[in-house]
Amino acid sequence: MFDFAEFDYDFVANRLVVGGEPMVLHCHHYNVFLQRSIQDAEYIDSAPILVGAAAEVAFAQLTDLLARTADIPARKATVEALYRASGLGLIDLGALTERGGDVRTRSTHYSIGWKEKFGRSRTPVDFFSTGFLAGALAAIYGLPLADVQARQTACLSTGVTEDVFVLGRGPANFTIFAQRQNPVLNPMADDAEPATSVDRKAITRAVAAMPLPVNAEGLIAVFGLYLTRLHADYYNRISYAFEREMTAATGRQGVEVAADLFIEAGHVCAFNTMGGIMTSPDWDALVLPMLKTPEDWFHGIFAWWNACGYGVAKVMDVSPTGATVRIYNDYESVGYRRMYGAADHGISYLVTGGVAGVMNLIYLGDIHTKPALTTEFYDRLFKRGQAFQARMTACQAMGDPYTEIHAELPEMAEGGHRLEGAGVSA
Amino acid sequence: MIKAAEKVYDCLHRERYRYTLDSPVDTGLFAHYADADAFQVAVYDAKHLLPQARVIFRIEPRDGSFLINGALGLDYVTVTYLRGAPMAAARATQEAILARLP
Repeated sequence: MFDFAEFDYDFVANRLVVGGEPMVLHCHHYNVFLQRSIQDAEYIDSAPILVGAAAEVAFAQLTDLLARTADIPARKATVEALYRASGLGLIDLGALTERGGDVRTRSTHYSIGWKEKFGRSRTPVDFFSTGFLAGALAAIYGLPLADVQARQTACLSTGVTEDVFVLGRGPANFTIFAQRQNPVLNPMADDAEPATSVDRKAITRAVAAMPLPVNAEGLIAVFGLYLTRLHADYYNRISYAFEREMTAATGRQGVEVAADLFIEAGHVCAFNTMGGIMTSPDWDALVLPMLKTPEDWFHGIFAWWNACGYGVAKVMDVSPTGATVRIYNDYESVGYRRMYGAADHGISYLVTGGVAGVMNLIYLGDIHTKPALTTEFYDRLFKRGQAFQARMTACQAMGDPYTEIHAELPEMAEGGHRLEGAGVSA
Repeated sequence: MIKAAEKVYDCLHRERYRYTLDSPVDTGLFAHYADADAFQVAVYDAKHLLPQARVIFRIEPRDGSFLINGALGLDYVTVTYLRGAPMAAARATQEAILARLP
């Protein structure tokens, strides 16, 4: 079987690496919002990217994890258990052979999560599972990933009763990406964070050790949402491959479009995941006893954030008018450099939107009063033009020693210009 | 005793209530869910790292029809019910249990 608890969380870099793949926590709101943002650009053929990105990380990870398991049923069992432990749902690979086969399931995170967030879809939406299963087939039977095909022919999100994935052999019907380089992590400086009564390191350790309960459907229903522990480089690949295709199609404007979309996804992540955490009994039990001021809340939630596999976030300053967060080895920068080398623009979109989103929740949304995290509240908080906006003042992917995000209210910005978007190196 | 029952927003196909109680929750609650064949009670204690922390718990029946989240010493619990036919019965049962607490 498979248990993430058997893999040590690296508290120096705040990473969890499993089978060579860094794993990060994200919720269904972020997962399906990010995917839909990519799919909505109809002039980009996004399906091969979405499937290929999942196939890439699953194949690499499972090839590593299954290396010492020769028995095929045991290999299948490990894959099924990893899928479930990740909060992805339930799969039964019993009918799978070296030639492929059908995988049917009544529970997958993406199909259920999509329907919960957006309602019924007209077409199948679980590109992640499609790619994951392609990678699994190849890894289980020791096949080249380029010789495997996968497609989803039925999807719970459309209103039917099961997902059906059809796996086969033949030239891959998804993108095969160039081999990633080994990850390079930057050393951390001894930055002075402002004094606080919040024991940040203890929170990170306590949260990293907190079990994530998987229910009978293979889903992790916590904080009022569905959580997953997925491969950081899945998110990185779909984001940056999309951005590169956009740039190829539209020139430099593609970067601006991608930045807007992915920073918005970061807002969605902060609002739902971080908002869900800060309104939960778990927060009240673990963190709230240490919190006296809104600034403490900011320190507390970033201490929690540090347990999510995102890298090491340090709060350099925070006040009712703004905040600066420095992140060493943010997963976006580390992944980008593995895939594409040095970036010529800031690419740490998730954390840019995340910092602004957390500021909005704490200082404008009174998250301490446990407001309902509805779509209407989101729109009110983020889309009225008075919300905190953030920009990258440094980005590790560009060669900076760290990524740094500064958030402030629009009226605080010199000249009142819009801050968010692709930043430049400090 | 239940001091207040507030329906709180849940973005999934469920209904969630926050029950404020007369007294802080203690381990007496667990006695109502002691049948391990019917219920799964999970606790997480991080006091060795956070001395002020409370023990978190979650209680879930094997059929997944509801989920109780809370912490020992807090004066509330949240209960999330799956929507559907059995929801009214599950809610009535859980509210009766909470009402009997001191």
